[in-house]
Amino acid sequence: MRNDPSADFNAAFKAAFDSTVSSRIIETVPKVPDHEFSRRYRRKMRKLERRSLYAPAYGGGIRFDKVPPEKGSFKKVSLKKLFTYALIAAILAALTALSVGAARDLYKKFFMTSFDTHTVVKSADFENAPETIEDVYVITKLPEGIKLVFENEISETTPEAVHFYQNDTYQFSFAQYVKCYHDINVNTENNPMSNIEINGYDGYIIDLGNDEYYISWDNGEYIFDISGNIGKNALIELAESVQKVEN
Amino acid sequence: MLSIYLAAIDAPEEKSKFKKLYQLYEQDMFKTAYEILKTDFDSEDAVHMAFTNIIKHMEKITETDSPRTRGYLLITVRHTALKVLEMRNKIVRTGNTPAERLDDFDLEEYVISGIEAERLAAVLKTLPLEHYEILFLEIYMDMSITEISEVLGITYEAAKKRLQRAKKKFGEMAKEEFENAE
Repeated sequence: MRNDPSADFNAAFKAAFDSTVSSRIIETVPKVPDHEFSRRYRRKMRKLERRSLYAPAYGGGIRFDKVPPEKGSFKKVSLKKLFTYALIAAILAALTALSVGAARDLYKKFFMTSFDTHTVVKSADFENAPETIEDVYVITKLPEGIKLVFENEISETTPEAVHFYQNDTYQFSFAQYVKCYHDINVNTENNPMSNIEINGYDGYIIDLGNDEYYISWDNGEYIFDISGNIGKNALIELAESVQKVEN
Repeated sequence: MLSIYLAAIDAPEEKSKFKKLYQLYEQDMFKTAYEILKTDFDSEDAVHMAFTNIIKHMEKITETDSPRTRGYLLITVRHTALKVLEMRNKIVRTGNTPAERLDDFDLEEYVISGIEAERLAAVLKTLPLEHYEILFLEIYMDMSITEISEVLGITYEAAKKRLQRAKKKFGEMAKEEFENAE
């Protein structure tokens, strides 16, 4: 029997990679002490974990371990059970409407849906807001020694402008979001959220622990957030210093 | 913390796979990113972004604790870190010199068929890293050009041309290696 030359070639190539991957890639990792990851990183990874459920590799949002029922395999539900389910659904719907209503009274500019581990926040008022980053806002009173270490590039389709700042001790991020695309998860698991006003605009603040806070507010045109470990008052001062860059 | 991270993946098999990836490679990925970015903040971002990318291609990881997987994750984080660096420095990655044009290149035809793995390895050891990485992704990881472009953070066209260039270079080096050996 004759072997497939293409398969032989691929097998040989893979074996060649087997014997070279260590020297070419793996051994190039610097030999330095292990890093202690920050709380911010852990939070982002939790978000990623939730998103991972909906990744294509996991069946595009459908649980890959669940197989659709075969045709004709649905169970019959009695009228009594159906009525019970409908009643439970109606009660749950009423409770949900009450809780969402309460949240909307407190945070008029935001539409919030709370879960055990996080809260999904969207804009509740974006009809007349810009759909692109037309005006750029920046922090105007940066603490001494803090440097901008990252900012994303803005194009006509960019829905957010993100800036990261840090020095040896502190780090914080500042972002400006187009309201209609604002859809974020904030960590409210064991972290209290309360309302706040930034320069008279509606917002909310989350105490993340260890002197780390997250503040978000809506100035009518855009939603902003700022998060970092520089303390509550300092973070509020930074938020209040945010101004539009004049062209 | 890790239990929360893992709770979202329900199937025990996948949970175990993700857990192992997280535990095995996070530190090396950070060190690789740090070497490029020089800040904890950006390097953590690069690791996070790399995992975002890796999740999209989880089916490519057949074995969690293997040099193949480690190599793949390190290549992914290296290119993610380079992308972060470019963004930080406001560099736009074009990927190619516009004047360059390469027709489809069949490595298998170019290189002598029935080649031994040892000889291929000898060429791979000296192949420029950029070419090594892209061949690694295509041949070793069985990735399509679209998938490669996602890992490297470049366009489809740029990935295709880079792959052609890598194969051409490998072919030339292989030919030389084999002629010298004979």
